[in-house]
This record gives sequence, structure tokens and C-alpha cells, in this order.
Amino acid sequence: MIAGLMLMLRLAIRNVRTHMVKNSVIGVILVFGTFVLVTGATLIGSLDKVMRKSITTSITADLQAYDADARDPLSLLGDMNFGGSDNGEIPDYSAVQDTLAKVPEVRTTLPFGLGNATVFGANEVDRSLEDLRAAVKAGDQARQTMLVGRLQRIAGDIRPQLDLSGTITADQEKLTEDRASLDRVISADFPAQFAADPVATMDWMDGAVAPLATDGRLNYFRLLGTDIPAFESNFPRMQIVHGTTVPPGERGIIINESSYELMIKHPIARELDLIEKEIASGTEIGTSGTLFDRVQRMSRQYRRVLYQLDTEEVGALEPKLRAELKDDKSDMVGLLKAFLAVSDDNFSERKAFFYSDIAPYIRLYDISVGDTLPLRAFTKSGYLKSVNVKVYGVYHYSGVAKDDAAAGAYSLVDMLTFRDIYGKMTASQQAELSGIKASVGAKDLGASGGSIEDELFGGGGSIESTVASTEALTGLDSVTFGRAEEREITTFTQDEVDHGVATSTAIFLKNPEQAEVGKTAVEKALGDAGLKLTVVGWKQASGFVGQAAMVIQLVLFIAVLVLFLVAIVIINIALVLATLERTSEIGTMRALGAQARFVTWMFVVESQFVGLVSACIGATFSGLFVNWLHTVGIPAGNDFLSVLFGGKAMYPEQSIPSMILGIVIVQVVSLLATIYPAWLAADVPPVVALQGKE
Amino acid sequence: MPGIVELTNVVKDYPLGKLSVRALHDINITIGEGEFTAIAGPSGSGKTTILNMIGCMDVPTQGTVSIAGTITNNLGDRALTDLRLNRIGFIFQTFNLINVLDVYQNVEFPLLLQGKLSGAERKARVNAMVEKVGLTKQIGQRPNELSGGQRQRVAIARALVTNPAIVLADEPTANLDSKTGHAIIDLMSDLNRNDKITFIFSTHDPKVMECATRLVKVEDGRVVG
Ligand SMILES: Nc1ncnc2c1ncn2[C@@H]1O[C@H](COP(=O)(O)OP(=O)(O)OP(=O)(O)O)[C@@H](O)[C@H]1O
Ligand SMILES: [Mg+2]
Repeated sequence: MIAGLMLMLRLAIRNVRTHMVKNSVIGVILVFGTFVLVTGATLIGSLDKVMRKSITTSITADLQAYDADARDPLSLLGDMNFGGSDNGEIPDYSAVQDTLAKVPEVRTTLPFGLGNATVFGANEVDRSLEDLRAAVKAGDQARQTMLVGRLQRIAGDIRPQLDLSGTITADQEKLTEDRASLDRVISADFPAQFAADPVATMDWMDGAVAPLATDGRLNYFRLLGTDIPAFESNFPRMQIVHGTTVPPGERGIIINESSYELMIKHPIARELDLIEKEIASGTEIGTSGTLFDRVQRMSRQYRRVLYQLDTEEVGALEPKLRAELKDDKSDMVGLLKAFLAVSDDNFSERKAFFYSDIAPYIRLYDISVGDTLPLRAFTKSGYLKSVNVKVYGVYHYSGVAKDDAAAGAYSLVDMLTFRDIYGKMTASQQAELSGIKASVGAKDLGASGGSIEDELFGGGGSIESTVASTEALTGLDSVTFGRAEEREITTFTQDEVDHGVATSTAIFLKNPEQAEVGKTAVEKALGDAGLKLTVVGWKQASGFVGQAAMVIQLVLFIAVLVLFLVAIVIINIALVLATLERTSEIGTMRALGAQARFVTWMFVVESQFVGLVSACIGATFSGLFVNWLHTVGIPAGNDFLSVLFGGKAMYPEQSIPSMILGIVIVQVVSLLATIYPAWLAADVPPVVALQGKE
Repeated sequence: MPGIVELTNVVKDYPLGKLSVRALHDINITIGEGEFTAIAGPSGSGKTTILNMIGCMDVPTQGTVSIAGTITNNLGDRALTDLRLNRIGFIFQTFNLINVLDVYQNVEFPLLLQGKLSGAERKARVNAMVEKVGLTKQIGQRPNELSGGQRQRVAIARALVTNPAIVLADEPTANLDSKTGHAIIDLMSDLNRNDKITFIFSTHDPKVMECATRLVKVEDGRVVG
């Protein structure tokens, strides 16, 4: 037996050496196949590992549990419905918390509440009027004069735009009225009119002039309500970059840095940042049409700077701009336009100038730490609700670019604020409501349906609670955050955080490597407690991003599969040809007394030998390649990949199981490729030995 | 005393499309142990077909073939293969050495298939056999480094190394010049005389026939004397 095997091995080695060309072709295919397979498996394994680390430590935790009856699957990163997903609800988080506290695999849990809210950004008329009210209140005469002057300049600038739009608008009556309003502000005796009755004039401007300045932006926030202090300690990659965290028991929001940079930053500053990024990636303003257009658009937005400048500030900035541009003829509008029309040659200089000399005079961010934001959102019952919440800080995830939109740009709010927006009540509110119901008589209240809750606890402005459609939202008079009705910041207890509605529960395991074991234990505990929740791992919980990872794996899998199918076909053909060539030799062996199965085994041993040698060479190459990648790193290249990699580059780790897997698969592939030729060879009759021909 | 080879009323048909060709008509041959038999006849007369039957590579359509007391008719491929391995040695017209193996390994091949002998016994047996055919010097060479005569000597050594009951040779000299061919026949003849090995070989060369101790003439698939 051993002797027979040795004989086959000897024959195999001799044959391989004799038929070098044929075996080299097969060998090269298998070496390449093994290389792709092992490298692919290693990279996927590494990617899976880094992604899991990156995503579980930023947002998903090890597991997420959410309503089993949810309409949409939970997708914390990259929601396909753009925030419109309905993940159902967990009516009382504390029930889940208490159940899972008893599961030995679980380290801790956190309540999650997903929601969306909008904040109207102020336009420059709003902002100036707001300042003016403060100046009137304070009796600051000089400042009033300065701000009235600024409003007149803005009106003067809007007037020609109105004439331009007059040619396309149908409502001529309103147009005439708007022109008259602006003309009144521009007129020389307007400061006197204002002085005569400041409050009435300002009220009139609120209604008649402010809507004509159209640059107020609608900021859109994706909110994640959670136990913020616990979130911070359990997601170590989260870092506060401006301000502070929300103190325990306080209401507040911490804004995601990418939202802060992309939505809240001054549009000109943001454009400059984005253009710089484009230039850094090798695009040139001079040669790229789209980038050139972008610069042109930015230049046309000079008003966004101009409107924020006081007379004094214009005075201070003008000479600096003149010197910078070497232009002593143009007025401030011309100077700003020219300044913003950047080119490849002067871009970095202009950007530096913008930040050092212009930025100090303008609001670089629409919202600052310490502001109170009127978050507006539709509750579950369809009512628009406004909740004031204090901005405590700005956070980001370490290793992710700061203006990265792909990082699941959630701003964090406390659970109570989330519940206000969500439209559900706390237990004490519920108790209060039932008290009222009892005293008023439930029947009457029942008739007015769900709106009773919102009327009682809606907070915010009275106009909102009756508005129930998105069109109505955009049609609303813009209420700016600065002027929003101050809402008393209430404090709350941990008990209030834990008792109440959540949209999902983040679950941290003691051993994150054993996610499947943990998942089974959690599912069992929830099932035993009668909680109908779906438990998912990070890949599913992260939604689009996790699915993208699965797609990458699938693509690689298919590529390898195709490669090996091709390999099987080629090897098969090569071996069949070899069999035909070796018919006489096989016949001789059979004549000399070799059994048919000996011939079969001879072929199998031979192809397994070629397979093993090739697979080892391929795996070695792959090992060297991965080792090299480990030292140089695979650059993320774009934002999306940097989220997946959890940083700017991925450093893949060598994986022995991947190598073994690769070698085993290649052996199976060569075995499959040998079946037909081996069967053919075993069928060669011994008589061919006597039929001449060597 | 019964012959070591007995062909009784052997008929062999080869299928040829829908028809069949009768290669052997009612053949009766008995060959005793130690004989040096030549099967002679013109091309296409059925010499190779007869050797196939005796060599257990094929079974007759009718009649019986008995080799060293075993009737082959109803044996399957495995049993026939075992018979070939243990009872019969083969020498081919085209030598049929295994090209990737050297002289020693070619001679060793049937012993490895048998797997009966220990490594040391095998080595001794192979070396003795190679010496007997006079190729000790070439023992490490591959077939393509040898002359035709040398190759046929290797084939003879390979055929004899298992101590078979019968050695079959199908036109062993056809691919050799007459001088070398004679040397090969002489070698076989010596082995027959000294070691009492039963040889059956086919030929159409009259000079070769002369060396035989027994001559079976065939024509058109029939024994003619
Ligand atoms: N496998 C086969 N299929 C069909 N016919 C065959 C087959 N083998 C042999 N024959 C036929 O049987 C007859 C005998 O052939 P065989 O090879 O035995 O003759 P031979 O005497 O050995 O001839 P040669 O001297 O040319 O080797 C011939 O007519 C031949 O065509
Ligand atoms: Mg013949």
C-alpha cells in the first residue's frame, strides 16, 4: 500500500517534471487562483474585523434589538429611506433593560431613539432685526443706527433682484407691494421713521421685508436619542470636539461634526473647504468645468458675506481686500466678487485670507455651542412639534474625516427630548394625563382623538400643533432659533431615561468576538420575557454600510468562483489531452497488472501534487503581498471606505485559516478537474499496449 | 499432464459497427510448461488476438482459455488483472517502457504493484534481473537514453522479475534490426533453457521461427499446423 503510494508519488513527480509545459500552465492558473482566493479571503476577513470594530464601537454596539413588527429593518448607517424608515417601537425600554441585565453574556444596554428634526436657519434680515430688537431693548442708540444702516444696505441689494424676478412672476400685485416695502426701507427718511416707532417698524419689517431675503437655510438633523453619558462611555471612538457633553439629567443636543461642517458652517467657508478637498484630490479649477462652475457659483454668493458686515467692518475690510487684490477702483461688491473668483494660482492664499481676515467679521457657524435650537419635527401622530434644546457641543468619531457625510451623521439628544419629538409621553406625563382625563371625563376627550396629548404637552408655538403636512412645514413663516420661545430646561432622573419609549436597544456583549452566542442568549431571554423583538448583529443593524460589506464579499466570492470554474475547465482539458497522450503508457501499466483504480489514483495523486505545490506557492505569494499591505496600508481613498476601514487606511492581518482554506479549496478544485480524465484513463483497456505505437 | 496454456474451441469476434469480424475460428492449442513456442503467420492472421487471450487481456467469444489451471472466460477485469500481474510477463513489439522511470524503476514496477516483497528483497531481485539482461551499467538511465535492443532487454527483465508462469512476447523483434533481434531471441532462448521459463512469442520472421522448440502456424484465424 505504502509502496504503491510511493510509486504513484514517484510517477507523479516524474510526470510533472517530464510534462513541464502542461503542468506549468495548470500550475500558473492554480497559483494565481490560490493567490486571489487567499488574498481575497484575508482582506475580507480583515475588512470584516476592522469594520466590525469601527461600526460596533461607533454606533451599532454588538447587537441591536428592535420591534419584531417593524415595517422597515433597522439601518443605523446609510438608511435607504433617508430617515423615513419605520423601525417600530419598544414601548418601555426598562423592560428590555431589566430582562437583558440578567443575561450573563450581556455587559450593558442603551436605549436608542431615532428621529428627524429640522431647524430653520435665520436669514440676514431676521438676524439683523433680532440684533436691532436687542439694541432697542438695551437703548443702545449707536448700535441701532448702525443696524438700521445695515438693513438699508440689504434692502438696496435685494431691490434689483426683485426687478429681475418681476419679469417671471405672475403675481404682479404682490410684486408692486414688495417693491414699495423695499423702497420704504431704502428711502432716506427711513431712519427717522424707525426712530419714531421702533417696535412697530420692526414688526412691519418682520412680515414685509424679512421674507424677501431668501438665504435662510433649512437645516436637517438626524437625531439619535440616547442616554448620552452612557453612550459616551460605551462608544469610545466618539469624541467631543467643541463644547462639552450633555451633563447627566439635563436636556441637550450634541451635534455631529459632519452635520456641523456641511450644514451649519457658513456656506462660503464650506465651499472653500470643499474646493480645497477637490484640489487636493488632483482636480484643477482651470481644467475642470464642474469645479470652475462651482467657483463661479461661490463668487455669486458674495452677499452671504456682505450682509453680515457692519459699516465699520466694511471700512476695516475694504483696504485689506484692495491690497490683496491690488484693485483701487471697485466697490465692496466688486471686491468681494473678485476675491471669491478664485483660481488655481491664488486659491490657498485666498482661503487663508478668508479665514484670517474675513471670518472674524462673519458668523462662521449658523449655530454655536450654547445656542438653543428649536427642533421641529413631526410626531408619530402627525403633528408638528417644536422642542427647544440647548447645544452643548459637537462630536465626531476618531479616525473619520470631519466633513465625512457617510459616517451616519446623527446628532445626539437626551431620551426625554427624543420622546418629546417622537410624541410619546413619560410615565409621569401619562399619569398626569389620566388624571386630567378622569377629572374632565374621558368621553369628551376621546372625541378629539390623539391631538389631546399634543395640545397638553406639545410645548413650542401654538401654530404648529395643528399643521400636519410637509408642505405646510415649508410654507410656515420662518421662526428663527434665536427668537424661539425660551422653553424651561427641565432636568430629569435616570429613571425617566429608562422608563419610556425607544426605537431600539443597543446591546454590548462581554465578549464581542462571540456575537452569535450572545445573540442566541439575548433572543432566548427576550422570548422568555414575552418581548417581541428582532435581534440583529452589526452588519444588519448598520443597514446600507453593512450590506455594502456583504456585497463586496459576494463580488469577491463570485470572482473566485468564476476563476475556479475557468480553472476547472482548463485543467480538465489539459488532463484529458494528457490522458490521450498517455493511452499507450496506461495500457502498458494495465497489461502489466495495474488495476483500473491504480490508474485513477495515479491521476488523482498527480493532480493533487500539482495542486498542492501550486497552492503553497500561491499562498506564499499571497502571504508576502498581505505582509507588504500590512506595512504600507491600503488607503481608504474615499469617505465611504474610510468609514468601513474606521480610518484613513486598512492594515490587513495575515490569516492562517484563510491560507489553509485557500489550499484546501484548490485541492478540491484540482480533484474536481481530475474526475473526468481519471475516469477516462481508468477505462483504457490493456490491449492498447499491444497495438503498436510508442 | 495438462498444458500450462489450453485454448479449447476458441472463437473470437470483434464488433465492427453493426456487424462483427471473426478474428479466430475454433482454435485449439495446448502449450506445456517450459516450451519455447512461436506463433507464426502472416499479418492479420490472428497472432496478436491469440496472445491477448493467453495474456488475459481479453476473453474469447466462444470456447475456453485456461491459464495455469484457471479458466478466464467468466473472470472480471480485476481478476484478469491479478492473473496478468502474478502469472504472466509481457514483452511488446514497441517495448512499452514507462518513459518517466529509469531502468531500475521500470523493472521494479510490477513488484511494486504486487507489493509482496520487502524493499531489500525487491532491490536484490531487480538488480539480479538487470544483471541477467546485461544492463547493470545503464541501470539509472531513462528509456530514451537506450538503444532499441537495450530497451527490449529492459522489457524482458521487467517481464521476468515477478517469476511468471508464462512470458508472452508479441513480435519482440519486429522493431529491431536482424542482428539485435537475434540477440534478443538468443537471450530469451537462454532464459528458457537455463531457467525453464515458458515463452510464447509471435513472429512472421522465418529465422526467428527456427529458434522455437514448438511452432504454431496460424492463417486467417485458424491453426494450420
Ligand atoms: N480490436 C479489433 N477490432 C476489430 N478487429 C480487430 C481487432 N483486433 C484485431 N482485429 C482483426 O482481427 C484480425 C486478426 O488481427 P491480429 O491483430 O490478431 O493479427 P496479427 O496476426 O497480429 O497481425 P499483425 O501481424 O499485423 O500484427 C484482423 O483481421 C484484424 O483486423
Ligand atoms: Mg499482431
